[in-house]
Amino acid sequence: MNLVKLSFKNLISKPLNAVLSLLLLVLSVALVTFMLQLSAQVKGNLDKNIKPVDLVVGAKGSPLQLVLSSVLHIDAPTGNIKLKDAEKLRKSRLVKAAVPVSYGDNYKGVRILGTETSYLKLYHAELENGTLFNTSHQVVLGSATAKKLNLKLGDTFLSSHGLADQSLEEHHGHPFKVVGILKTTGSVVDNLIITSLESIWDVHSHPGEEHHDDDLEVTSLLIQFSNPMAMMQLPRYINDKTNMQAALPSLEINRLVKLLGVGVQTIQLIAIAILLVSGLSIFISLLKAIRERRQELALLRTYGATSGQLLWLVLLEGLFLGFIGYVLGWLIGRLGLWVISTYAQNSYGYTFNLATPTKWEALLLLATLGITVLASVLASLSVFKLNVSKILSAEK
Amino acid sequence: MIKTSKLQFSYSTENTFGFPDISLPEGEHLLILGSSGVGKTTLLHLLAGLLPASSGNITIGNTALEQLSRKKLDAFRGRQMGIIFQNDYFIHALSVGENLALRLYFPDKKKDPTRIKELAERLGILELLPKKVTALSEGQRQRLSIALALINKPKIIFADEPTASLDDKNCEKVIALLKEEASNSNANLLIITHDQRVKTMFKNHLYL
Repeated sequence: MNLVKLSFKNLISKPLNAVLSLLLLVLSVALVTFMLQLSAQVKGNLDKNIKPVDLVVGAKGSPLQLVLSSVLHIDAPTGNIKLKDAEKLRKSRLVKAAVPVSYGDNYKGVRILGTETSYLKLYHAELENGTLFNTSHQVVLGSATAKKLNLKLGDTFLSSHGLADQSLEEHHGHPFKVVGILKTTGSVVDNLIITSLESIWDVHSHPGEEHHDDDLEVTSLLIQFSNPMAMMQLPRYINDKTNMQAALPSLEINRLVKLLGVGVQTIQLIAIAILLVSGLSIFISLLKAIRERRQELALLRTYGATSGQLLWLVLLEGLFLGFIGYVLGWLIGRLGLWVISTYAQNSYGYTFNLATPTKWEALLLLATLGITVLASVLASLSVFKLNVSKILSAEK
Repeated sequence: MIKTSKLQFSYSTENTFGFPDISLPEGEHLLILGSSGVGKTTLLHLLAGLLPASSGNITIGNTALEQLSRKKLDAFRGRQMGIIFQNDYFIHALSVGENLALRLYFPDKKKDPTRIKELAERLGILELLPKKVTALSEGQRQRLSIALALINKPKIIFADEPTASLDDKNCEKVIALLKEEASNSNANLLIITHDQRVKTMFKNHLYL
């Protein structure tokens, strides 16, 4: 028998009290760790996906929408631009690489992206097996897509018009054939069906019609700059001199993250407020426990326990609460991340990994223990004033 | 060995107790008698160092209690004294055996499972060791109180009204047990009581 064992037995002898004091602590730790991970991973995910693209050129409209649709593939496109206008930009000396992308169809809610094979190079996507598309109606699948749709090499499917699953119209007579499956890249590529631009044009043309080069359209053009000066000149030129718009993904996403950041910060502040309240609730619960156990504490004094040992006894109980609360809260935070990850995987093709503890989470552990230590010490100051004789001669 | 001289204690200026001097050689037993309210429990708490005396001296063995710091007094009490309180006090989160182990833990972090088993067997509570203290009957609680006072092999055993709630038969048994245990370790036994049945069982009496 020792003080550690005794304080633990004291804690679990009143499980309801322990659960009540833990509740707020668990809630606040879960919220803080969840939000820390979520915002860090969203930011990381976004950065990874927009990094290969310096500039998006598309139809006029909201620049954020253009970036969300053409780079992150989570919004509807702003419209189409003429291929010949895009081709002109491609020849600019300010452009190192340019990849046209085109939308129009989906298969079971997964977007079919018409582009050139150079798109895959932007994200360093390589073939797991099969080949790249070279004629119309051949597709390669992102790794997550292949798994989700349960498609293998050689399988065929019919696409539906639009970008969402709900669209009723099916394109009959133009089946797509899977010729390649990509390795996992951890980027948006994993969740796409990728085909040639011609496939998209073919699907939407009417039988017997020929493609006229002048009429061909793409949704947007993804551009990598050849030098830093391009960032100053190219967007201005496009926005002023053409009927297209240029959007800088990094700028737009920073704006978005800042906007979300306000929400994240608000939740963090609420979580910290809950943490402080949980400190108060631990303080009150320990104070109550000390009152209820006054006779036991006085008894320990007659056994030869010092006031310091009694303080330590209460402090240990507080530390147990703090530690158990933190661990439970952390686990629930990760569970939340896992739930969100599953949901985001299905809806946006985003995954959040259940990352190992970060520096901030270690700091949060210290803060949690600090608050519980403070609460326990404040609550247990009365053990120094314990009137042993009086307590033990009172009638029960 | 217990020696007191001119011991006084006051709860307030009107409420002052003076106590007759005690001089009890090692191993001797003493019965302290008196009606309610004359300060019997106060005397016990003074001797046990739970209350500081207003004036006078208490010497136990070679140690003058009033010269010990609070911390040293706590340790001294833990080593040298076993106290049976008028009410029984236990740690309710612990089992009977754990209560006894905890009593051994203070103040020297001793561990002695053999001692616990041996004493529990002698007091007839061996099979109660794993039980919760809340599950004990009145008589079992009494015996656990006695075991707690004895487990540390104290040099002085204090008992405050140990027979108050017992019938004649059990009263005799408990006193015999206390006397036997005290004699076994050559300890002083001080019993405070107003129970007239106990009177004939001791030769040293002190009236307050």
